[in-house]
Parts: sequence; structure tokens; C-alpha cells
Amino acid sequence: MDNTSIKKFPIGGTHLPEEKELTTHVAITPLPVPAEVLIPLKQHLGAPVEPAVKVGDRVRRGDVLGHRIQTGIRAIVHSSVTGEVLGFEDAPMPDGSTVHAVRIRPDQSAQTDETLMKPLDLEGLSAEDYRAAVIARVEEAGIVGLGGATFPTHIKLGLEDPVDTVVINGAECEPYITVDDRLMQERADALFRGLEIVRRTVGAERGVVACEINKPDALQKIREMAVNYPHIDAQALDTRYPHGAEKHLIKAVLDREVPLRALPSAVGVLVNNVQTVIAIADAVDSGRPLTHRVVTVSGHGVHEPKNLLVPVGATIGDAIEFCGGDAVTDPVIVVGGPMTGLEISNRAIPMTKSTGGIVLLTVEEHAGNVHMACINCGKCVEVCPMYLPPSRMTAYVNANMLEEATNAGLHACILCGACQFVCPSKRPLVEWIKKGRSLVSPVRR
Amino acid sequence: MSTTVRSSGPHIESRDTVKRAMWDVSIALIPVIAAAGIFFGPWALYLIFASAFATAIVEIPFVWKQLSWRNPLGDGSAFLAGLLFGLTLAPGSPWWIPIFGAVMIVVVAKQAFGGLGHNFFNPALVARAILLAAYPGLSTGWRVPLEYDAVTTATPLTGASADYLELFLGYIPGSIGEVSALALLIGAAYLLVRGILGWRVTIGYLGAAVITALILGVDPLFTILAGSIMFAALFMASDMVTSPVARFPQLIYGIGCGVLTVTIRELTQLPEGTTYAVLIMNGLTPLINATVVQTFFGDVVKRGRRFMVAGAAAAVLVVAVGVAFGTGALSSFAESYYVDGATRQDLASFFPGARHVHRYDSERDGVRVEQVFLNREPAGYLVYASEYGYKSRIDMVLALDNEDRIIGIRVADHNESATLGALIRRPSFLNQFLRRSTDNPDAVVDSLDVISGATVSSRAVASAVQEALSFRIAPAAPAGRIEVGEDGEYEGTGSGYNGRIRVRVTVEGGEVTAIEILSHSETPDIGGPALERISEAVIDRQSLDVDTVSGATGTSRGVLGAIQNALGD
Repeated sequence: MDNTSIKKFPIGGTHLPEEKELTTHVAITPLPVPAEVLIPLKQHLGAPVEPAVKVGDRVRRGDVLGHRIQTGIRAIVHSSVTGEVLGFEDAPMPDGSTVHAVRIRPDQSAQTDETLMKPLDLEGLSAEDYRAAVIARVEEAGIVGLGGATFPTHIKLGLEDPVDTVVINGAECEPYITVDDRLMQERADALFRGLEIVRRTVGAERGVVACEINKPDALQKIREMAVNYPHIDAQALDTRYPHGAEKHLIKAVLDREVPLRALPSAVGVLVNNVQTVIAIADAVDSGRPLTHRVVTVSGHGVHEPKNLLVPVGATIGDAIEFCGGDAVTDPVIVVGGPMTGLEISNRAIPMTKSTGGIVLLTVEEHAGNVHMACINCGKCVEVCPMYLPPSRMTAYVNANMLEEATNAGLHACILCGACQFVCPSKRPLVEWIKKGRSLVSPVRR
Repeated sequence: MSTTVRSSGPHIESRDTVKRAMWDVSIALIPVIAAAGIFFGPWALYLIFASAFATAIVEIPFVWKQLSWRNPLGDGSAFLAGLLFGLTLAPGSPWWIPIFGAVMIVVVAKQAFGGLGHNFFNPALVARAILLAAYPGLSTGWRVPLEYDAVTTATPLTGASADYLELFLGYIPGSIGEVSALALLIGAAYLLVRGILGWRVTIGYLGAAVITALILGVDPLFTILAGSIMFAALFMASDMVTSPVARFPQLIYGIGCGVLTVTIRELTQLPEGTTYAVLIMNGLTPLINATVVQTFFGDVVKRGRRFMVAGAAAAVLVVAVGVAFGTGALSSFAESYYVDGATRQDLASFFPGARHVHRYDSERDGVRVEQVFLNREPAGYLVYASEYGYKSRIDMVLALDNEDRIIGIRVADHNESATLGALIRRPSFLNQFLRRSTDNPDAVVDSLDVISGATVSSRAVASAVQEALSFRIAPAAPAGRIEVGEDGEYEGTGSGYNGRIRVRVTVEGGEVTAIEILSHSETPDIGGPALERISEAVIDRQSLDVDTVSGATGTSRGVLGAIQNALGD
């Protein structure tokens, strides 16, 4: 494979302001353990886990807080700190919901006290045993997709479909966020190690690490690394939103089109996030469960943008404070990236395994509320990576013509927001699409 | 669902706004406006800016909530529509046209539909279409560029001649904004850089125009350089509001515009097709939008639907072309009821404002001459001549002024080969006949510059022109005193304007003493007096060399011919 080729998906997409310069050269620093943490018992796509601790219990970092039960899609939750369980309460979430959570007061003097699993020795195992061992370890370590979807990784690795290629999603196409960027620069070893483990687990011949060219340092690093791995290639991607969308990443890297409503495994591909694969390497080689994650705190609304290694359960306010606090009055706080993230006002919301970024936007760069009539300019159609007509779709939704909206692709939409970003009339297209989906009866969905 | 909707992303937005798009298009029109100022002078600038500001002012009551002292023009859409309308005007349009256009744009074409974004038809073109229908004469006040006070003339589309460079630079008569392809392309380059040129529409439009021109045997380069195709493709058809939203539909729409424009130009009485072509395609836009649906990403199963898409596209094109040919057929039907042989088009283009023609002489050798009257004064002649070319007859139309000099020339119809023979339509070829006069018709043939590769066609045109110019010579009245025979009464006939004229001439003592009109079918008001006056003049001067009666030349010639016939010629 040509190591210097730059690929992209063929139709749609747009170029966003990148704003990566704020943090791309800032090394990952640990967030000091806060006075209290609030660890939600559901940090994954699926149902909550059952509490495994009682009020007053002393827990160590790495201890299990929430058990899995037999059925359903669940991921184990571990304590990110060593300390005392103060109680159970409902933790606010960025989407406005609440989740059952454990409040723990960390013991500041005992943070090196950590529960680790025994490192896995995978040498000499048969393919069958290798696969079983890795999947079991990933489940025990509570690893979920850290790109934001938080789908439990052990389930993803356990799917039966044959996979020939594992693609690592280092596109990181959201503005401001530099989590994968920094991890590729700082932990490329663990990344390639993790990818090798995943590749062998699912029996794929090939692994690809894909990275957009707006992260030259990370790209150079993975290119250097790939030289030593015969089964792994580094692939540069053009800077285009949404390259990080799974199906578009596959289209760009392998030119395979994942059918609607199907998983990537339908075309023999498994996609994993950079940080997820690093977590797998840590769980296998060091026995460390997933209790911390890297979060980019950035934006022109914060004093010192940083990449932080945060213990799950620390609040968004803790992270912002550590980064010097607000740089402007009333910044708009977005959890996740500015394109698909959620706007919050409550800084007591705890960070979870899904928190990839905290972006403080100034009022000037924040999208306004005034919108005009559609002028049929077609820009939304031009950029839609799913080849949908957002303007028509939302017109149907607003006219309550849900049947037509569905036929126009209401449920094929991946909510990337590219349409709304480019709309010269500033129409809240994503909001309307979500509204349309909520109106369509669950049966139809 | 919880209350996630309120806080959903994206939380950032591009800097593109409707206002920016509108002003970008306005900025892109600056070269065009500058060219208009250079070629047509201050009056053209008045027309453009009066239209723009009048439209913005008329829209104030509808959008006053969005306006402020700092933002008096609002989103700029009204100003832009006015600007575009102004650029479609003829440079000699009267002062009140911009106001008329402004009211039509805002009230009829835009706000009646619900304002910006809701109108189906391009407001500037709606206003222009209404103008064309209501005041057809106003659309023909073309002027020669750089000669601000010069008389009106024909546009290249209707007969005046120009070569490609002149067409490209804009040194040709035409609408204020359409003449300079160069200025239009500079504007287009700006739009392309700013990312708001609907290039699929433009490419589809120009490409289809070229191909249609080739099919119909018209010079393709001339087709896109002359007239308003370039202007329409870049600034009118590509209007966002009234064109399709998706990629492929935009292409189809552009192709439809191109095919329609050229078919309307070539197959109907209208000299220019862009206005109606674009409006028709505007009307088809919702249909194209709804029919041509892109297959979703990952919709692998339904890839077969692409064929459906192609089928739908073909259907739309067939409808479009059908409409064009339909209009063509209808207007030829209308033409057969048109009282005069001279087409309205030739009159409008060569003699703007002229409404009346009189058959100058009976048809002879395929040459037909119509005397043209403007405000009851003779303004010149339209001469129709025809000659066999390489394949079949080439029909020529010549416009002569009162001094019998050619002021305009057009190939009305031909079947020569599209590649070579069709070059006889090129201005650079036809130009050589300008200013030739009836004094020496043979010079046309003697000093002909033939088109290499199309010698036969070239000679046929020259021969037709020669014949046309000979109309003065062949039927020339014999000079001097009439030679009469023995005394007696003689009867003879001649062809008048409307038909046969029979006279009885009485000769006594070697002189014509009386002329009696036995029958005629001339128009009483016009031909009647002429019959009397010609008869009196002949008796008075004892000669057939008398002045014909102004306004009734055909009748005059007819009665003279009848007298001559009676006297035994």
C-alpha cells in the first residue's frame, strides 16, 4: 500500500474550522484527584449495572463498583479513585437525564493504592483461546467504545461475522478535540500493541490506523511505527468532516460501503477508536481496568486549554477549574465536540467514559438562534455524507409528513450536523430531524 | 424522549449567510455593470441602479421588521433581483421601466408567494416576462455600443453582425448586462472562488445549448456568446431559490434550460429564449426535485433505483423539449395568420417600433420586397431572397435603409451542413454584405470572400443578396416619354399590393388622355388615392417615370405596370 496516499470519502462532507492548534502540542496531564467523585453506574450504551458496593465501603482504584448481570448489553464500572463510598444518588447527565451513581470521597494520601488484574500471557495460545481470553479481559476491564458511542467492546469483539481488516479511527474530525491526536503521539506503542491484540482476536489479516492530515505529528508517528508492523498500515485522510463517522471512515480507507442499518462487519471490517485500543493493551498487558480517560478541555472560552487524563466521576467543573477557568463571561459549554456534542449549563455533571471533550465556546462563535427561510441553495444536500436531502426532510417533518420524511431518509441520518453547519439560513436542521424521529412511532423505527 | 433536543449540536456555524450570498452575487455583477457603463453610457447605469434601489424600496413594507438604519437593504435579495432585472433591459428603455419592474418583482413574483425562499419563479425574469408581454416594443430598443446617441439597431441574434471577439468583449448591441461575455466570466470566477456558483446548472446550461445548437445546425459558439445565454446560465438559471437543490437535478435543470433556450430561439418567433426557458424550468424544479432522488449512502440494495433516476431525468428532458417544440408549432400556426409576410421578428429587430409594411412589388424570382413604415414614414425595406445552396434553398433576409443600403442581414433558413455550411450564419461572413447597395448588385458576387470549405453555400448567399439588391433594376419603369401607338383605348393589368389592377388607357393624338381604373383590390385609404395620383401624374407628364406614392408603393408600381401593359410592352 502506498504509505503516502491521502484518502477521503467521495461525496459530501465539509471543511470545519479546526482549532486543533490550541492543544495539539499540549502533553496529556493528569487531572488531580478532586475532593469527591460521582461515578455513574451506566457509562455505556445499554442498561445500568447493579451496584457492587455499600455505603461506607472502602474501595480501591480499580475495584468493581457495578456488576454485570447475565443478559443484555452492559459494561462493568470500576472505581477511578481509592476512598470511601459516601452514598448513591442520581447523577445529572449532559443530555438532561439522570443516572444512578456512586459518590466516593477519595483518600488523597492513598491514590497509588490500586487494584490491578493479573497481566494476560497470550503467548502460545490457540486462536480460539486467544480470542476467549482477550474478550473476557476486555469485559472485566469495563472497556467501551471511547469515541463517544460507548458500545461495550467485548460484545463488538465477540461478533461472529468474519473480519479481514481492523481500522483504527484516528480521524478525530471534530474541531478542538485532540484526544486521539495526543494519544497517537504519546502512546503509539500501546496503540499498535492494542491493534495487534484486536487484529488477532478477530482473526483479521490487516490493521489500518487512519488519521487526518491536520494532525501532522500524530500522522508522522504512526507512519514511523507502521514500518515495524508488517500487518499494519498507516493511512492519511484528507481533512474533511465527518471522516470519523464509522461508515465514512471505511468508505474512505477501504472504499467499502456499509449497507444501511448494517454494522461494519457486514463488509468484513471492525472499527475501533484509538483510545479504546490503548485501553485494551493496558488491560491485557498491565491488568489495568478502564477507570481514566483523556479529555480535551479547549475553546476560546477557557484560559489554558489542556489535554487531561481524568478519573471517571470527576466533574466537568473540576476539569475547567484545572484549566484556569472561564476566559470569557458566560462561555457556552459543550460536552463532546462542537458538532455533535451537547450543550450544558450544569458544571456538576460528572465526566464518564464517553466524555471526549469539553469545549468552551465564546458567544460569538456559538451558533445563534435566529433562522431564516430556506433559500434552496442546496448546500445541505451538497455536504450530506449520507446523500440525504436535509432541507426537504426537515420540511416534511415541520409539515408533520412523517411518512415522506422517513422515505427521504429521516432514519438514515447520522446526525453529524454538517448540513446545519453550512446552512446560510442557519436553520436548526439537526434539531428538526431529531424531532421528526421522536414523532415517528417506535414501531416504525 | 427527554429534553435533548434543546441542546443538540452543531454548536458552531459557518460564516455563510443568506445576506453574504446575495451580496456576493451583487459583487460578482460589478464587472458586468462596469461593462454596461462603458458600452452604453450613464443611462444604462441609471436603469441598473434605479431598478435595484426601486426594488429594495418597494420591498420595505414587506420586510420592515428585518431592516434597520444600519442595515437598510435587509438580506439584499430585493436589491439583487432589481440589479438582475436592470441588466436584462434594453439600453434605450424609458425611465419608468425600473419602477415597473420593481413592483412586479416584489409584489407579483416574490411576496405573493410568501417572500424570499418561497417563490417558484425567478423574480427578475417574471418581471421581464411581464414587461415583454405588456410592452413588446421596449425590448427592442437596442443600441450600438459606444455610440450613446446612435439609432437603434438589431441584436446579433436577430441579424446584426459581429465577430467572435466582439461578441466576447461585448462590442455588440443587446441587453445592458448580456453583451460582454468577458465581464460575465470575471464575475463568475469571483462566484466560483466564493463557492456559491451553481456550476452544475451553468455547465449543464451551456453544454446543452452547444449540443442543441449543433443538432439544429446553428453555430454553437455564436449561440452561447450572443444574446443572454451566458448571463442567464451564470446569474439567472443558477438562482438558488428557484433551481433544484441536489447535484444531479441541478444538472438536469441546467440541461433543460439550455435545450429550451436554443429551441425557442431557433424554432419560434421569439428572438431570445432565455427568459421563457428558465421560467419553464423554474416551474419544473419541484418536479425534478421530487422525482430525481439520490440513493442513500449504504443503500446498496436500491442501487437499481439509479436507473429510475436516469429514466426520470430523460422524462423531464422529453417534457422540456416537447414544450419547446410545442411552442414552436404554435407560433408557426400564429404566423400563418399574420397579415404580412414580413415576420414580426424581422421588423422588430431591424426596424424597432415599425408596425406597418407594404408589399413593394409582386413576388418575382423568389425575391419579395416589403417597404417598412415607421410612424407612417418610409423607414426602409425588408427584402426576402432565396437561392439554392449546397443542399437546398438558403433563405436570406436583408434590411435596407431608405438609401437602398444593406443595414442588416440574416440567414432565415438553411439546410446546409452543420459543420461547414452553417458557417454562413457567422457574422464575420455576413458582415461583408453590409452597406452594399442596389447601385451595383453584381459587386456582391464579384468581390465575395468565400468561406473555405463552404464555397457553394457562400456563393449561394452572395447570389441571393445580388438578386435581392437587383429589385430596383428589374422592374424599373422605362424613362422618358411614353411611346404610344395609334389612337384608341387599350386595356392592361398589373399586380398591385393586394392583387390585380386593371386599367383602360385612352390614347388620342399620340398622347395619353385618360386612364380609367377598371378594377382593383387595393386598400381604399392607402391604395385608392395612389391610383388616382399615379394616373394623373402619368397623363400630366406623359411618362411612366413618375414618383411612386409614399406609403403605397406597391399600388403605385401596380398601376404603372398596368399602364405599361396596356400600352403594349
